[in-house]
Amino acid sequence: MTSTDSAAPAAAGKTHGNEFLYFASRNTKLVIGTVVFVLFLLAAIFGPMLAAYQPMTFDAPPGLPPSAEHWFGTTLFGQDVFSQFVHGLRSSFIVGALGGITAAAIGMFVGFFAGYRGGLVDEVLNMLTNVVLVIPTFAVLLVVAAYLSVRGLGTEALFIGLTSWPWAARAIRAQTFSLTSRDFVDMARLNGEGTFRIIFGQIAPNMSSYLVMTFILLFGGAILTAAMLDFIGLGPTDGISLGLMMNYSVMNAALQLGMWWWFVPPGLAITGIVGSLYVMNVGLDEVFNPKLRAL
Amino acid sequence: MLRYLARKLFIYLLTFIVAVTIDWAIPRFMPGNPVDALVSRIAMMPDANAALTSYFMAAFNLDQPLWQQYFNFWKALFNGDLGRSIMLFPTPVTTLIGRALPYTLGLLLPSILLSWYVGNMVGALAARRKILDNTVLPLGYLLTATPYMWLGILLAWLLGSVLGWFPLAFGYDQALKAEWTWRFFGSLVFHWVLPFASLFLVALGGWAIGMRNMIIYELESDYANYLQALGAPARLVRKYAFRNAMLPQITGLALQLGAVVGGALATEIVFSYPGLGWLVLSGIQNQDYFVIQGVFLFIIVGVLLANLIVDIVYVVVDPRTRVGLQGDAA
Amino acid sequence: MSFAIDRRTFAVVTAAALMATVAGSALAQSGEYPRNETLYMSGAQWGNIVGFNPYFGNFANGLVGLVNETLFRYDPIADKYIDWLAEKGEWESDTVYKVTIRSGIKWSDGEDFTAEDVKWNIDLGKLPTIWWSDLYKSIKSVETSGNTVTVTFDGTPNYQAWQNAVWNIPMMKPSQWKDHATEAEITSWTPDAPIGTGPYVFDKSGYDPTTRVVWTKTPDGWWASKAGISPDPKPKYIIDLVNSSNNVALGLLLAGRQDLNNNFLPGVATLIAGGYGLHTYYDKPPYMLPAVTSWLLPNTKKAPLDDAAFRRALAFSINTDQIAKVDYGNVVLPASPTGLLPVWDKYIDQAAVKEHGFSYDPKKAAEILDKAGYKKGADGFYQTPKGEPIDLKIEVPSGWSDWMQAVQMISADAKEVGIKITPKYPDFNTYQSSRNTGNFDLMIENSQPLSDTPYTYYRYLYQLPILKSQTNYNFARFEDKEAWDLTVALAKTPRSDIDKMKEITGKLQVRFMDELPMIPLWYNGAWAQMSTTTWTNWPADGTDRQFIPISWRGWLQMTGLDTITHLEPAGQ
Repeated sequence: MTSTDSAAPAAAGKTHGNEFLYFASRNTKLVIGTVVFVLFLLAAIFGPMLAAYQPMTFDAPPGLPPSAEHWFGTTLFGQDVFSQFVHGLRSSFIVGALGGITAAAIGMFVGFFAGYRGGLVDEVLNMLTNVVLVIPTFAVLLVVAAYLSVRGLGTEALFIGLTSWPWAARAIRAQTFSLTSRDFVDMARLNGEGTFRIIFGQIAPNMSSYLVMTFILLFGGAILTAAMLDFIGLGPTDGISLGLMMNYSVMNAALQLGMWWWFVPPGLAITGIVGSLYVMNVGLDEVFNPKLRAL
Repeated sequence: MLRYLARKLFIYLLTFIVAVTIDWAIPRFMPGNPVDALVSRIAMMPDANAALTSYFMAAFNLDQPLWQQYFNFWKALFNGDLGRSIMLFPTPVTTLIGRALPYTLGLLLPSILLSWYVGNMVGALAARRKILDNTVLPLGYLLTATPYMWLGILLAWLLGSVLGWFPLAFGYDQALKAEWTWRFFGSLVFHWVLPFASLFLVALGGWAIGMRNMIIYELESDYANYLQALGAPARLVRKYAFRNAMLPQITGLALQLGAVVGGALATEIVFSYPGLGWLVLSGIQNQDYFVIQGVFLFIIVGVLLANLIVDIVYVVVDPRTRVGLQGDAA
Repeated sequence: MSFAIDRRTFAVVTAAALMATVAGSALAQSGEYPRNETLYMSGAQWGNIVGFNPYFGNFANGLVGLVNETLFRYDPIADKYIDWLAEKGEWESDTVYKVTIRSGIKWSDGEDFTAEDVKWNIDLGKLPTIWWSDLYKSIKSVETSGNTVTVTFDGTPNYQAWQNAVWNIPMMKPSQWKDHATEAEITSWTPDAPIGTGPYVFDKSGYDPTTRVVWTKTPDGWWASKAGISPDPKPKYIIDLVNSSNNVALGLLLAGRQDLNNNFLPGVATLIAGGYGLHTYYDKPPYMLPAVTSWLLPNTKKAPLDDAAFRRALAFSINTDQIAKVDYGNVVLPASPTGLLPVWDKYIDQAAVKEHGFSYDPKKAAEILDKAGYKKGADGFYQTPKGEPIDLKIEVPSGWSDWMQAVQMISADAKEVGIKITPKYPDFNTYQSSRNTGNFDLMIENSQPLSDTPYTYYRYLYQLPILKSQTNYNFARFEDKEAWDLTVALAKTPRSDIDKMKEITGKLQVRFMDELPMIPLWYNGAWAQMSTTTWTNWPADGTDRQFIPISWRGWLQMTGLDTITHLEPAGQ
């Protein structure tokens, strides 16, 4: 991969704090994305405290449509959908954060070293990346999850993190590669600084905006993957998540029974969260990269 | 150029060997024994269990040491033999894959290529056109952020159950015999529409956004400004921008393949569509080592080949790659 | 790169992809199955169809019953045997059983069905992989003469097991199978097209192992309708569909594209009332006939589940009424504390149930635990009398939605009392192999269906000895020599001696309820959702069609077949 696709945001490091805030607050995409994201985040944090019912208890009449009492209606078994929804949001954010962090850590490690050291290190890490890239990771997740009969959010996030880093590693590698030949890196090298110090002292800060954006995408990707896993019944075995809600509602034919309120909200929420992350990402890109602000 | 290609091929070969080895190992490191599952499906007196278990263990060569099994696996692979299915004993895995592959390819190829093509077109049009940008972009984001299966089920319910326009499930109408007539062909296409649409729509958004962003980068780059300063017509500038923006989109195509395959598997499960996803899911449920590894092998080879083709295309279309090959091997 | 080339490439590649799809799926044959002549059923087939071997689990559904018939059949609603391929079967003496074969029956390849064929099929029992091989060991000889087969036993026969076997052994064509009647092949080989005596034959052109098997009416006519024993079935084709998700199955059923669905479908009670043309055996709760008891299976080799007091406390803490009502929407009934199905009502000793039985009573549960020396720890959960924490896992297969809900309710109920139970959802094979090898704490289990004799239930509960792998019976690994001896005594009681059977089952019931090797929960229904769009005249309570509308393997030779033969087209 050449650096064509990722050259633009590299210049971002020089943006000053005030300038950043100024442009950030004037960027509609970033503002809208952030507002939507924060709304969901607040719902995830405070929603469970607001919910009048427990998510998994059967204390309401089954199959009620949305009402003042049950904002999102009830499930076929008389569970409160709103309560499941806000608890599910919470799990989705946890999986997204943990999975995103794991993937970003691996992706950064591989990308930095491959890009900075080059040569054999690059070749080996590259091959590793390629292997993870070609193995159908989603299908591997299926196999692994199928045999772990007690699963928690943590294991799910870990698996997702371990398999979703390759594209990030590639992108970071390309960035690092282009920064490695810059003067300030040469200077540091002449000063006798070690690989670690150069990477984290010189290279990483100079592409911090890029890293932030990469993390945002990984975060969204982890939420989506978790939803898919949960959806086919391979998610956490206890508790509730947005994907599990979809799984239960499909397993119990909610749509065929006319109970759309059980199936639609979790999917919409995932679309909303992930979509807001993507929009934020583009907004950030425009803020970091003055050339794109023309619009 | 040749040296570059040779080196690429070598790396691909290595990747292939490592990936296939992992593929072989994954099902075997799972707890449990597939033959137990097979034998427990036969209702019989408990004392006959041991005899039958050892018979099947031998039939699948599972009684041999692991290194021997690994060696056998490669040997058989070179003879085009992927072993026999455990859940559908004694059907060869190649037969099962042969049956399922057309459905998956029929879903995957058109949805990948068409979404890439249409997405790029839409994205290119959207760039720097305010109205389009403000409508296409949000829609693109929503689509690409939608979980495949959720969209699939929603589509199936709306267009299938409520409106009755499209069938809910299966590869063709269950009232038809699988035969070579227009009617059957029509039924195939009819059943293909919804799974295709849910894959296509989700992928479309991603490409459109990617292209839009790339073009904007290109239009703001030095050469574009220079051309504009020289008084070149806007159309010409856009054309150059488009060409340059295509390159990363091609790389993106290769990078996305694995994920798209995953999405296709998920979609097949939603629509009970008899492709590889359906096959591998029942393989997993039945702990069928040979089916699991056979299907994965196909996916690995497919994705690797696609990557290789993209790499070669890249060398051909981007002269810079040819020059700077030595340092940049990805 | 110019864009014109790109466009052309795309066109070519896309076209090629489509052609590959089509070419790959195309087979050579012609025709379609007209809707008004076709019966669509679904519910028995999970995963791919594995050929036509009745001794291997996942064989094409309908094979036994529609193609390979049995000597007798059994009507579970009337508790009556039906003479079928055999016109008579009786005990000539205490150890000699004589079967008389009906004349005029032909195999689908045109040859006569003979007593020799029956002998060959019974003799398969000498292969250790055949399910009645244990029973066969007690058979001294099988002899034929004319149209009779005489089976002579060594000592007192296992009357109950034999009676059960004669309506479950499928008659296969010896000439088709003789080269494959070996220990391993009898459970793994499959013919391309099975030969049978039944009303239907295999339609190869419609076979698709991933989605369906098609049975066509036998071209030369069926012996039973010719002889006037059964109406001739009206559906020209029967298509058995592989199960898809609940979502898809319910969609197809509501759209009138499935006629008989034998799966548990959630929310069915609301649909029956909703005017979707859905029919069930009863028109009010529980809608379905009971088919099998669902049990809570404890591993009695593990503490504290090895303690009868603990198991009884568990039984008192589960609110089965709530499971029946909330989880199942009243399509099931809570089980009798004896675990015996309503079919065996006449064997249930109501006085004993009153004295030894159990019901939902959390207080009583806690009392039992306290009395047995269990004490609550700091976390509010009970500990063993030795002071060790109790943390049990309860397992059901992943994706079995009704059971997954049920174990959530059970673990919540147990928590109320102070017993810590966590749900666990392994995939089905892992569930099965853990169950067989005794590697579990608690499970929901229901593999012993309704049959003609309570003996099958007690064998299922008590069979000894315990082996390393328990494949069919006694999954609780419960060692009760006396109960097993009683079960054997029951087996050796002739089916006609109802009083003796009652006496033995009475003793077994008391023992069972005191010890609770397994805890009966509810009666899983004979799930049958029938669509009246294309076919009518379905079985119903209070009519002369009191048949069991089930197509599962082993149920067609009950009155499942009669369900099909009595169908009438719904008309224009």
